[in-house]
Amino acid sequence: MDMQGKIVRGDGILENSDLFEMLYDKYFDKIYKSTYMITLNDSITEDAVQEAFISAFNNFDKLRDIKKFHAWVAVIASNKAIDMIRKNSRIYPSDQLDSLHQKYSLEDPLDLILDKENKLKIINALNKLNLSYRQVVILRYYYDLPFKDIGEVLGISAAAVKSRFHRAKNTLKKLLESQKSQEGREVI
Amino acid sequence: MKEYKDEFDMYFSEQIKKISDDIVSPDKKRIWLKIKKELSVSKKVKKQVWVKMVLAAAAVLLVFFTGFVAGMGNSAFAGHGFFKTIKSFFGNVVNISGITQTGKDILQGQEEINAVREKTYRSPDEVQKMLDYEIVLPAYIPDGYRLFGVFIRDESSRMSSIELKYEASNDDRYFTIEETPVTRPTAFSYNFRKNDTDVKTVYLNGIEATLIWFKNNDTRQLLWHTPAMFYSISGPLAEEEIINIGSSIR
Repeated sequence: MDMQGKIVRGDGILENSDLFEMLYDKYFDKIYKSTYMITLNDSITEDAVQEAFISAFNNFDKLRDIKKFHAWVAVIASNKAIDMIRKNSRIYPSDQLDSLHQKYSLEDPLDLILDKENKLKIINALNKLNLSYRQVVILRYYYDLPFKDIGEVLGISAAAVKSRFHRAKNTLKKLLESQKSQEGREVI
Repeated sequence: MKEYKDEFDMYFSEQIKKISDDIVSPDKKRIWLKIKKELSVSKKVKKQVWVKMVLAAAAVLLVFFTGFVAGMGNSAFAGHGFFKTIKSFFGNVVNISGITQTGKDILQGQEEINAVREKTYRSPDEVQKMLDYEIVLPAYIPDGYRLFGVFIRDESSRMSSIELKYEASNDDRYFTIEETPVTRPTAFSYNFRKNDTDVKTVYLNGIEATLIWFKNNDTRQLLWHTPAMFYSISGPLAEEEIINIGSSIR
């Protein structure tokens, strides 16, 4: 089916919601997960993703390339989530981080334990990054988005995204290094 | 251009993707129902806004065009679709106005600019690749006409309106079909001398359309819209021909 030929704007949205429902169905999980990795909070993620889809539907005519739909909604969702976190600082950070910790601390064969330890380190490092760093890191690493595309949706230049990303990456490297050296000390 | 990724990038990207596998999403059907509910509320609000806009535009146009009662000819051979047509009669002048959602590229001023710009006609396949909506070709064309090409009004927009040009094989007659996707709201209005034009409502597969006959040069224009698109056919066509062409655009 030619998806693009079925796109209908404005008041036609609800009568022609099949396409949107299809896009929603296809990308909801991915967008939820990427937003969750920024918020580490279920309820904020759910609200942000819901609002992002509504916003995307209402602004569908601004999307030039349907292939970028999921990345576009993901950026909208991450922006909304960051706004919500900033406005509701009391409900953040979430207890959900503990559930991931718990998940990764269950006993498993050695290779799985190592894998989970790695994930835990990443989660801990991400949790220490500020929100705008976390946002570009997830958009870049999870969606493999070019700096230009991230910048377009965030309303900043590709150079600014690149610079923010590199600062985030260096911070991540330092955080992971420090976790490593702490482990070394613990072993000694 | 492909952006460079180092070892850390690849490691981190892989880990992030692995972590995402462990995140459990909530029931998406439940959230979809909430989204639909929100959208239906905003649609109701939008409808109320539209009604107000149509009424406001009609009022503005009525005031505006009463000042033009004698001066306007049949030059407004408009290539536009419409959202809602308002036909008004001021003595000898017929006014057709409407609310479109098609944005700046179909405003009358832009139309005049387009008129002096040389048009480049391409094949439908070539133009289709430049657009995010589907071009519809008529299933019926009167005998003796063939598709000359497709003109895209704004090559920088993937939602640009397009013009299909059909030429007669034996002489220099041609007719055009304009297809414009619904995007942003705007208003239009055209005036014709009642002596020079004949305006009537016709139906294309149950959809109301406006047919204008320009008596001076014996040309016709047919305007109608669907929820997604505005269509307009213009040319030296008989009434039956132009209606048949319009009906075959689905």
